[in-house]
Amino acid sequence: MRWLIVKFINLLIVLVAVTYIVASITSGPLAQIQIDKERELLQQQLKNLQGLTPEEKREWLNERLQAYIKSNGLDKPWYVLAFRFTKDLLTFKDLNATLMTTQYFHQGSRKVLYIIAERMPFSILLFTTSSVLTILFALPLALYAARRPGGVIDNTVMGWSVFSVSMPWWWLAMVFIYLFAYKWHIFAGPAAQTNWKDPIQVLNRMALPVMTVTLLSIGDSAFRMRNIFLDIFNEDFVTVARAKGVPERDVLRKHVLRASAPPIVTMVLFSIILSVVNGAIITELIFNWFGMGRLYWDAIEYNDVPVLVELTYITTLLYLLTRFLLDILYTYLDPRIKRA
Amino acid sequence: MVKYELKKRIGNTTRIILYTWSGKIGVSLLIIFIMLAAVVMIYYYPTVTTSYGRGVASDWIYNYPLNAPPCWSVHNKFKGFIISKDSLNTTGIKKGVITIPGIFGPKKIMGYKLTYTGRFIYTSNAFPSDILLVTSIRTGVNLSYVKLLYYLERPDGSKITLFNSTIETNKLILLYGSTGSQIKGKINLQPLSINSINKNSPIYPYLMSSLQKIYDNKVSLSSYKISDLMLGTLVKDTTGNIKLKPMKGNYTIYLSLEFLLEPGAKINIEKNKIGLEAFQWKFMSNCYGLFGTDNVGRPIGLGLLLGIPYAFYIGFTVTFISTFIGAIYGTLAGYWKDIKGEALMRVADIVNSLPFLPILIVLSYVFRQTINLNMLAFLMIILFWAGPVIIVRSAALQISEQLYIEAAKASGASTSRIILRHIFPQILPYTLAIAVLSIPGIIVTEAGLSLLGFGDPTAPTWGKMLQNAYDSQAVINGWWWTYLFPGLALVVFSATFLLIGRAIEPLVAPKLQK
Repeated sequence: MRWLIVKFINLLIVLVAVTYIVASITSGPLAQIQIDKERELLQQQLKNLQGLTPEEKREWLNERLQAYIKSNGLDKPWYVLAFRFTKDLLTFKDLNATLMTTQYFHQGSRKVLYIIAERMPFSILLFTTSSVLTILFALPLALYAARRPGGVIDNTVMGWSVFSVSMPWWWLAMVFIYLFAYKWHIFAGPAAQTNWKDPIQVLNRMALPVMTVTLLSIGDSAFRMRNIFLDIFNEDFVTVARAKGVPERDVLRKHVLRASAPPIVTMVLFSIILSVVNGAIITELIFNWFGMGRLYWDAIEYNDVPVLVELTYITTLLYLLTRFLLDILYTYLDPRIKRA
Repeated sequence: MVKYELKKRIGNTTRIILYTWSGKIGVSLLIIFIMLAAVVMIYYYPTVTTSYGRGVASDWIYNYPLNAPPCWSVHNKFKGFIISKDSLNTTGIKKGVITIPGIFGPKKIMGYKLTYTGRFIYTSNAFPSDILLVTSIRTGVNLSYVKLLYYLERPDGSKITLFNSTIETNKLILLYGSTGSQIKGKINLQPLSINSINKNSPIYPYLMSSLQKIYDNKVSLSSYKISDLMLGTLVKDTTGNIKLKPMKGNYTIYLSLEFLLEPGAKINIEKNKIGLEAFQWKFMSNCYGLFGTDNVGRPIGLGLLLGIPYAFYIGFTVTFISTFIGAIYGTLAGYWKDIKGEALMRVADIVNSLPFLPILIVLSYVFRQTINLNMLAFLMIILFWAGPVIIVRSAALQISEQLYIEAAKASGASTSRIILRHIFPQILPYTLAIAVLSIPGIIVTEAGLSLLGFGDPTAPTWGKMLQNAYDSQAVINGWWWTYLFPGLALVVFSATFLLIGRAIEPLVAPKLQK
């Protein structure tokens, strides 16, 4: 139980640390956005005021603005300001985007949480599909490769894993888009208009990203699975099972697969999360996929700091939570592991 | 003694690396890359590198075709050629009857005439990617009237007029060339690219009206390149579609000056140098080299070369510094078995569980105005140093339990001596493998940040080339060579280190050797 608490405390510390770092490097722009908003409000009020000379008007505005800045503590140094923004983020306080709005959800809302929420299903759809496909392809490949180390399949898996790791995914995405969408016209390209309510159009649009991500993640997944299987094939209990005369099919199913399930499940799920957090940002941009990854790009394009900050917070939160859950899952699947 | 040990260890390591096929390929690729990097540093750094990194079109388009695919991928090749001033035939200045506009219609009068003709035979099935023109004419001080006629006569007899009007006397006329700045009396001519011709250019109205006349509204002129229209003809192919094909045959460039002298003046050719000052028609080839050129005319192959030192720089700086920090940190964490070690591990855990790319994006977004390669490396080191800590720590834990460490401790060796002298050298091979294996990740990350616009704006890295391709919408435009080759270079470079790393792995983790 102790390790669970330690892990959880770790999670909280990382979350606060990341949020604080992000908040402190963006505290300047964030504070400026608040001040600008207040200035706009004051200028609105100023229009209703009459009988003031321009000089007086300016003075009135400045006075109010300074008072607002003082009372809200916006003149404090960045590390103090960052504390406030960190608190806002951790408590999911409403942040408003400066320019961006939601497109499908809560018609044109400025709330950053809504903006992120409407994109999330898109990312989840894309990466769950490709993960399921990855497992379906990688598992048999890895098993086959592990049973005949040094064989054709094994060498192919090894070679492809080298390439898939050393390749920017979005680069292959560009090549595939050119080939499949613009040259051979098989699937819809990133510029295609897609009706998100029509499943066939969505599938057509999804085909290329799913293909790219699956193909690339198969390389690494299959290689790691192969190593796990290789280790287990060499364990004593497998030899014993074979010596007992257990049929090879049952050796595979009952002994090898059962024993390799915990590391493989964790590894696969973890690599999915890692790809959602790290790789997906640029992959989604290239495929013009309306997901969380592209939101980073959109936020940068619009110079929308609140969106960028909250998005980083949410991604970090999701990433850490999943890591934590995976840790629990791992111990649940593998009772041999008793952590101190 | 120590020296001998080290020599033996290095020898063993090399032997083990070269024993596997992945090691052999990796090491030979690495040697090739190092040699190419040396060539770049000697011949191209910093002048070519800087202008490549800046990517200003005027540095490139006069020598390289724009958006030209690699030559091996083109069926109908067009090899570029130049018609220079020397290849023109001239009649010299001759007295003759010329026609000048008068109040009561044109009238004939005795004057002087100077003609130049240049011929070329067009035989290719493909169009040039562009035609670059230079034409500058010098007129004399004592001329009262100068008329210039300038056209291209095509094999079918149709004419494409480039100029047909009077020009100012007493001046050096730079008809075609974007800037005509004079440097120390020598004319610095930048040619005019026919395809990117400006509507204010003096030849634009003549060119357009004669093209209109030739094509007679059968096609919309704006959907073709002007250089294609100049050399093309409409052909019906077997399916009945009308297509623009090059018109093969003899072309003539014709340029004539008709002028009158001021009353009483005598012609002094030597003094006035009436006639062509500079002249060139450069037909740019429709393909370039093995790798093609990009949308500002930079050859992709050159960019691939120039990117090598940068890839080495960013990969090595980040990995070796961060692995070194991580190794020392991990050794300490393994050596101290008390609360100090525990605290160190907690910190490393925290750094390791940061989502790297989002944080890197936010960081580089905030510093985007001032970002350069060193800063990018620094940011990556901050995030990546904790990577090797866990492995190094477990190794250090094992080593620090050895008897000779106990002995060293008992004989009064200081902590720093034990770590540097006894533990650290044992850990080096582990860290070497980790460092080599993490280079691909670093390079791919740099490319990704470049694509998002956070790369060093002046360094011609492969990531920058990919960004340029992405920004110029190379995928939609079908310029596959602008992103295929930089990406391949990245893959091969990363794979080099991955292969070497895989070869070193058995040294570090003998379990995998089976």
